Amino acid sequence: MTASATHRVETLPNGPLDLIRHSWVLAKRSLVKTWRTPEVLVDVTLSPIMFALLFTYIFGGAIAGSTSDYLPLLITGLIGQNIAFASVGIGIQLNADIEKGIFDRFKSLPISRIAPLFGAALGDIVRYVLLIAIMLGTGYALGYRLGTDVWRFLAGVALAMLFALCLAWAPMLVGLLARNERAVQGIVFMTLFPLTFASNAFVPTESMPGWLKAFADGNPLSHLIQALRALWNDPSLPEAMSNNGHWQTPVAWTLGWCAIFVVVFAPLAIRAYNRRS
Amino acid sequence: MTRNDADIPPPHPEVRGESGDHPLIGSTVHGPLAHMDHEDAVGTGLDKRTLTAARLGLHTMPAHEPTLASAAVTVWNTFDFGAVRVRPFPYFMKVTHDIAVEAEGLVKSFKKTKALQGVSFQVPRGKVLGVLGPNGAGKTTAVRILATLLRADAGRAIVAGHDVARYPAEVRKRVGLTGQYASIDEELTGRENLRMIGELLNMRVSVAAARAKELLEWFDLTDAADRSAKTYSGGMRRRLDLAASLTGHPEIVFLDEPTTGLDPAKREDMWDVVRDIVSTGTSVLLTTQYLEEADALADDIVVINYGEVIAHDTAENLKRITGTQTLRVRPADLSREGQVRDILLGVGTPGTSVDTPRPGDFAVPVTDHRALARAVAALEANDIEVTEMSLMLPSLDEVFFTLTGERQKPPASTEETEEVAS
Repeated sequence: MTASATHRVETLPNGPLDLIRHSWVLAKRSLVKTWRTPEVLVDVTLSPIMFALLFTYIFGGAIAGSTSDYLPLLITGLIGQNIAFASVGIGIQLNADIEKGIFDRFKSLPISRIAPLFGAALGDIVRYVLLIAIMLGTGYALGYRLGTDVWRFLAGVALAMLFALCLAWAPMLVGLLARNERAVQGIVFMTLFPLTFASNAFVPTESMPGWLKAFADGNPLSHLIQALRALWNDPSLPEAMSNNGHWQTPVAWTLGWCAIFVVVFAPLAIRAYNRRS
Repeated sequence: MTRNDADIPPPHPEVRGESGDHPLIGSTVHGPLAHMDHEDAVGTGLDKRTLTAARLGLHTMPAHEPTLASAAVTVWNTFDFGAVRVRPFPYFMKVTHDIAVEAEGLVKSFKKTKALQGVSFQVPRGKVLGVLGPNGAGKTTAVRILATLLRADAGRAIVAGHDVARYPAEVRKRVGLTGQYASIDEELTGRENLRMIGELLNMRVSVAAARAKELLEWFDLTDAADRSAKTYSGGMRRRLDLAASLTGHPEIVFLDEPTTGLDPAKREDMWDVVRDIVSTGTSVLLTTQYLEEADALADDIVVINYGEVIAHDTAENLKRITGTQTLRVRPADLSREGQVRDILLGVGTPGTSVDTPRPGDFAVPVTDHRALARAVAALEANDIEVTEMSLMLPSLDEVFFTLTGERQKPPASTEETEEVAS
């Protein structure tokens, strides 16, 4: 054993890049764990496929007249819904980390207190990419076709990812506050169900009663879904499915909601992380 | 792997005297003062702590005066963005401290419990301080405050020369913590755990890998290095956890009940590891429920109970206060009870009586160091066959009984300590 306590090993200099580097190291940790237990990806792989099949054939005829006419509405709606549902994973992961004591280790290291949270979010990007790819693939198999150019398509993907990462702060907060994983799951889903169904994800909001329509139209998920429809779908489709190609307003609303999520939930999550011991 | 002392660099030169004006370093007291007693000091205007330090030849850690800059640092540290490192000493000064850890009047309350009610102690550099106490005494809380995981409600703690509340990032660079429960990622392998810690400590990937390899060898985990930590036994997890704490060559290591739940052989192994760590010049703060453990490892022992220090002494003195060891004999033939009792009375502390801790066992408090030999000789002379015989240190319970005059409740489940700390 040649090591000695008073001898410090060669380390990289401290600097503003530390946070990025540490977050990356911790994101690698999440990725390795996902790779080892691919079952955790079920919520972004198999369950979206299941939703797509069920909804297309159950609601398609009733809502849009035919299953193929329903797809431009449904696929974008499902991406919004599943992004929201997938965010529960990060809350559960943080909660498990606390329970198992690994966060004590991170807290006793000279790294930023935000790094473990950033790392977890960064590691989740893979999940969202997978989710969007699988959703579009399933849609394609069922007959869904993008109606715009590649740039608008990529802009939609980027917007969906950004939304996912900003929304993730809310389940992170729940994960840091709740006492166990089951509580995290219960609390997050309880909030997400009204948020996903009282939206424009599966049906046009016009048929809802006034108060519910107001809620559904203001719902952050509705804005995201509307933005995706405007960016991806053929502008000649009915307004509920394409917003006639006018993407600027829903994108602005979506970005606004992203900012609100971060401004409200990120400081609360950091505070909860610092307090939780 | 062989330990090579030549590789251990000499300690840094002390910053003394000439830098005594530096507000963060404090002054060394020279001359006749060094021999002064507390009584001599009455009226000199010097406080007790300075004098104690002077007598021991130690630096004192002066209180910090708050400034606008320090307030800004406090705000920054609250959010701890990590990008800015506070460096309280000019870069050319290499500072070492004679006191590795100094806790002063630490107070911490949780919702219902007062976990700490003004706890003070010091760990001299390169020494081991044992913090001894039953479950729920506040040991874990104290360690968590010193390791910057919790904030004290009141009081001050200086660890490796930095105030834990004001420069937590500086403290974290210099300490390692091994908690009561292994803080490792079970889904990663042992090697991945250590490499991750190394990389988080800003080591280059190759350096972190080399350090992980070195630690795995030291802690005898090489064979299990590439298995997920889930498959490790309790002892292996503890070793991995300890290895993780040592990754960054900390100046100070906090060991929170490192052997709780380990079987006796694993406990001895852990003790050897702790001795190894100390031999490299690292200071250690160790909490334990076992007087035996504190006795085996610690230079000094602090006994805490209900969040208060009730004794601070060497193991030797503590045993002396508590008085006695216990000699216990279990004769094979119970019909010889009378003779056994007589022999025990003969070697026991005068004025005490023979106790029967459980049926068939006879115990007597002993003070004479020759008691065991004399008892063996007497049993031999009387041809009494013995199935068990032991000389035991006073138990924690007896220490407490002597110090507080009240019996402890039987130790509760370990979860309780965790509950108090969280």
